Amino acid sequence: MAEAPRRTSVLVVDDEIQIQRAMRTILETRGYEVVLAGTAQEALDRLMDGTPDLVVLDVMLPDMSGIELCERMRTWLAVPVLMLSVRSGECDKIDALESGADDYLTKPFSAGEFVARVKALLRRSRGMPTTPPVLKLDGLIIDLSARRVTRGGEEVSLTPIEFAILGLLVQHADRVVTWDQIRDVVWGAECIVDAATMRVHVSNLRKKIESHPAVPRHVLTEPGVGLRLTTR
Amino acid sequence: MRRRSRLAPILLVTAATVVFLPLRPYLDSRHWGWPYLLIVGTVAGTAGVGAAIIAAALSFLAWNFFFIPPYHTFIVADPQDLVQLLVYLVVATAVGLQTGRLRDREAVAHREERYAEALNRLSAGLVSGGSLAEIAALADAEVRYVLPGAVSGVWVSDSDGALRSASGTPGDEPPAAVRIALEQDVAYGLPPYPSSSEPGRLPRRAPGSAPGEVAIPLRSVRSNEGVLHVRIASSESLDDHEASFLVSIAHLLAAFLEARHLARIANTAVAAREAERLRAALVSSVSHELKTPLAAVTAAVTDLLEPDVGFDEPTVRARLAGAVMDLGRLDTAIADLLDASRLEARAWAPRKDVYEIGEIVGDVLSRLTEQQRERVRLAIPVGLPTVHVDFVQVSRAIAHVVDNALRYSEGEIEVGARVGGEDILECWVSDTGHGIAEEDREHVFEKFFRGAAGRASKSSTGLGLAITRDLLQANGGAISIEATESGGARMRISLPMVDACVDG
Repeated sequence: MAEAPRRTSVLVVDDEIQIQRAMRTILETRGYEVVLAGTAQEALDRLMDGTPDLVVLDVMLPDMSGIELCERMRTWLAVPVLMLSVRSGECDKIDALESGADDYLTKPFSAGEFVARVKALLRRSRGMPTTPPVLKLDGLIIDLSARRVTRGGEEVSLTPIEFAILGLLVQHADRVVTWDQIRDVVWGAECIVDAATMRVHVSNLRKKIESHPAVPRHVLTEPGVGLRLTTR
Repeated sequence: MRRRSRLAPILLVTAATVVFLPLRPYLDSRHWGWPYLLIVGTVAGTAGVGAAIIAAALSFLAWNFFFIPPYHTFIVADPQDLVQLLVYLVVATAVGLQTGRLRDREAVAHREERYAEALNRLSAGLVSGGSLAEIAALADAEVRYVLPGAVSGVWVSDSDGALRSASGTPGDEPPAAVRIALEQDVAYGLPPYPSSSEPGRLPRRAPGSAPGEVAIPLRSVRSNEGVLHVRIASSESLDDHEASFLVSIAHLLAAFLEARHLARIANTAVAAREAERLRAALVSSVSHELKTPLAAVTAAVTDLLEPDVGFDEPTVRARLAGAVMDLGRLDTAIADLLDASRLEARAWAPRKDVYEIGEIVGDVLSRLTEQQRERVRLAIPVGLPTVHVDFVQVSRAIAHVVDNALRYSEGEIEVGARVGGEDILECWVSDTGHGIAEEDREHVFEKFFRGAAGRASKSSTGLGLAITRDLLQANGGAISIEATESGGARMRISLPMVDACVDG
């Protein structure tokens, strides 16, 4: 008997029954296989049984903080981790990213937002083209392979640095991109570029691609962390 | 003081005798009483009754010894001279007593005047209100004024019973006399004087204290507020007047400390009343703002689950969309409560960085629904200077203002920004609603303020604008309200600018 193609599995680590139930419903109706764990220990046990494609991890667990669990998992686990928290303070976000999480989401969130984050993380980890070759946002069309950006039908001319930043944001669409990532990818890890310089380039990029040059609609600031290109 | 008054008559009479002796041949022996009487009068007028009597006795002997033959003996040859001498003694004593008494009375009056002056100044200082250290310094100055060379200090008992120096040097150890005076509730170093509450029972020196050390408990109706400690300069002990002066100072200080204590209690009472009012408002606001959306969601969702009615899909979706809106309202109410309590507990320090105002406004708009976003007109030019603020806090503040404008008006709202001063970036949100009455403009930033009837009917926690003001103040900003040309409300927010402009 031929084995059915394995479904994408998501490990959800959260001690709240209501959240577990909601996650299971949201993910299973979209064809994902859901494995639940209520404690950090249970999560580690489930990971022994098999490696999921994505881990959704609450920052508050009864036996260990999500941050600590994430750090521990990161020593041997490469799959993407989405951290959930109830607080929206920027320190928590920085802690989450530093512990090895790939993105974070603040409760309460809508199902659509949650699924968009999950999809963005899974696209990336599978080495698939992370976004359709051409990304359309309102009147903005970004064609990475052709290195062409048009707004309202008119060509937008970007400097190489601006294009590199935009490329990184598009590849990580709907995911947080840290200033460190931008520095490493655009300038190279060994380069010393201060935050102010990067901000100036981002500011210029926004002026060129956003419909309102001073108030960004798509390239949003994640305070203390970096940027996020939102497609929603 | 007293030693000097004993020395003065001896010196004066001796000096006068030395001056008189060469003149002995020119004046009849019986007339030397007159110059001596002058000396007695002088002594009485300057050194008082005691000195005058000593001077009278000494001059009586000196006249006899040096001027009445036979010279240099106390023998009186002529009975006539003896009468003269005895009359002199009586007259000189009488003159001395009379003049000395006048002089003493004048001295007392003068001293009382100084005491009254000192106490007056101190009480004026107490009334004008000052810190404890200032009052202690004032008391010290008056003690020095009356008792030159004295050093005084005020020790106050804290709520936990520890003694603290009022002059504010922490870690100072109180002298032993101070502690004993406070523990035993007894004044040390004072002469026993009748007006004291424990007549005749005052020990002169506290065990372990130095001579000339005075410690007087500062007694109020409530308790012992502390101790007045004085080290007097001379080794002699205080007389009654000086002692009663120090006791008066102690009374004044005790009254001051008690008044201070009562003022604190009164302040606490006012604060407690205000806290009580806020708590009551909070409870009613919380129960309303949390229960209402919960009730709405519960009703809508349980209705969908009712088996007897079959809902078509559009109806279900509409119901659920309504439920989501109510849930959003619930989330906002909870977030407001959390923010308000974090601000109140000062547990939300700003993490400032350099941002463009447009980034922050973009963040605010990204949280609005599509319909809400369509009502926002932007008036933010490119190239404004950056601001130095906590992104999350200022975003939250602007979100409250934008939410208010959307909620209390129907049409378009404008969100704008411009340079508002040398180092101020001004951001405004104006609506086309009915505006805010001038008398309400200050109050809308108070917690749970409900202004004009139109506003009161809309649901809100009543915390939003109070949170906004606190958040902006924490970031060096401010907020005010004005009317727009069309009668709507314009909220003007000022934020600290960073001079570095973003290029381009």
